[in-house]
Amino acid sequence: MRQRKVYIELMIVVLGFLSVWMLLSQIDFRAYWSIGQKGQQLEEKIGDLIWKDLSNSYDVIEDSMAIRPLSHILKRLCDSNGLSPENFQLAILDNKEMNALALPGDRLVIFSGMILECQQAEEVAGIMAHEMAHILEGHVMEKIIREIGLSVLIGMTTGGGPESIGQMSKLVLGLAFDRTVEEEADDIGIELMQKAGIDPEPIANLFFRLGSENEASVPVWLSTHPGPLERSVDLARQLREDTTKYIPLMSHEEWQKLKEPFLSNN
Amino acid sequence: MIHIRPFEYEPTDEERERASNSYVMSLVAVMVGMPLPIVNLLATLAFYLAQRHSTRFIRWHCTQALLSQVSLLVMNSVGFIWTMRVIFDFQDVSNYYIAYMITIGLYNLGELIATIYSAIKVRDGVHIEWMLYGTLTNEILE
Repeated sequence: MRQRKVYIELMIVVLGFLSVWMLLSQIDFRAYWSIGQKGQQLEEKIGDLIWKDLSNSYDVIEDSMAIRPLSHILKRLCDSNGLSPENFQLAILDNKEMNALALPGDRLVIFSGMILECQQAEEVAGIMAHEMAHILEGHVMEKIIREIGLSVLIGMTTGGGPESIGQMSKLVLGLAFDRTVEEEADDIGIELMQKAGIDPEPIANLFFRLGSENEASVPVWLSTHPGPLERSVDLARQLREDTTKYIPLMSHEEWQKLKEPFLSNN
Repeated sequence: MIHIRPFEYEPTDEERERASNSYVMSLVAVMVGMPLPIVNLLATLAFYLAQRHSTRFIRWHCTQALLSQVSLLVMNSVGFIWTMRVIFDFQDVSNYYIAYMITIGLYNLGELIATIYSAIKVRDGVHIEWMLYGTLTNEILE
């Protein structure tokens, strides 16, 4: 009799707890307290600060002849994957450094040195897809918060000095993601390319080619991306089962012609 | 939720004080400002172990205080782990998470009020039985 009373009272307490929890879950606290929006605003503010510093340090290439083909590749990646191209701000910096990065606030930055190094358009598409993956998964903001700390970031956005913003830009330029995050970005990047009908194999070739170079000449983009050779092998293994016949984005000659504006800038 | 019932005998003043202290022990973590869910339980457990050869009145209330802390430990630990995941694994601050934290906040507040009430009443020699924990205590000490 007493045991039965224990079970009944236990059920009442548990059901009472669950009922209160479920009832409260129906309230949209996130909208009421603008939780998602505040985080998004902070991210955009940080992205703007870093971009301002980068654009002061490097020349921004605004030549439409140079940007348009890359914007088309970005648009193709977005349209095929149900993403809005307006959500990604593509920017090209004039510098011979082989680097590409994703900034908080969804800005995708490629250095002209990286474009010149790529032997075909699919390699640039692969780099863009990789960085898009970092943006989509929120890797950049997570990593920055871990490295710098949220309170410091908030301090920077509300009154941080130029030195601290410069340090943050340097951090982003040399941001080293761990292997798991890079592999995730590789996988998502490959998926983005495959859905866009862009051959992903050249990106594996790019990793292999650049990773095989001696350590002194390994580009910044790869020095911050662990294990390029192993990743190129992993990518190649992954793509072995992909039997799709991809149509090249453009011919070799068209690609070389596309690179000309960047050559003249460099 | 809380029932006042006659006990088997009239407790002495010393028994009332020690039984009341078992509830006070569970307020230790709040008093020292430590939000970790285990501190309350450890303090109550330590007092229970020290009083386990005492009179029935004292043992009864030590057991009830201890049992109430165990359920809070479970609820609060889930909240603690979830919060750590939100902070360090960048999990979304979802409506479910916020609702859970409010719910355990309400339960902790309810338990705090019940504990203070029980500490005061037991000190006066009144035998307080909580829903579930009182019934379980009767079952254990049978």
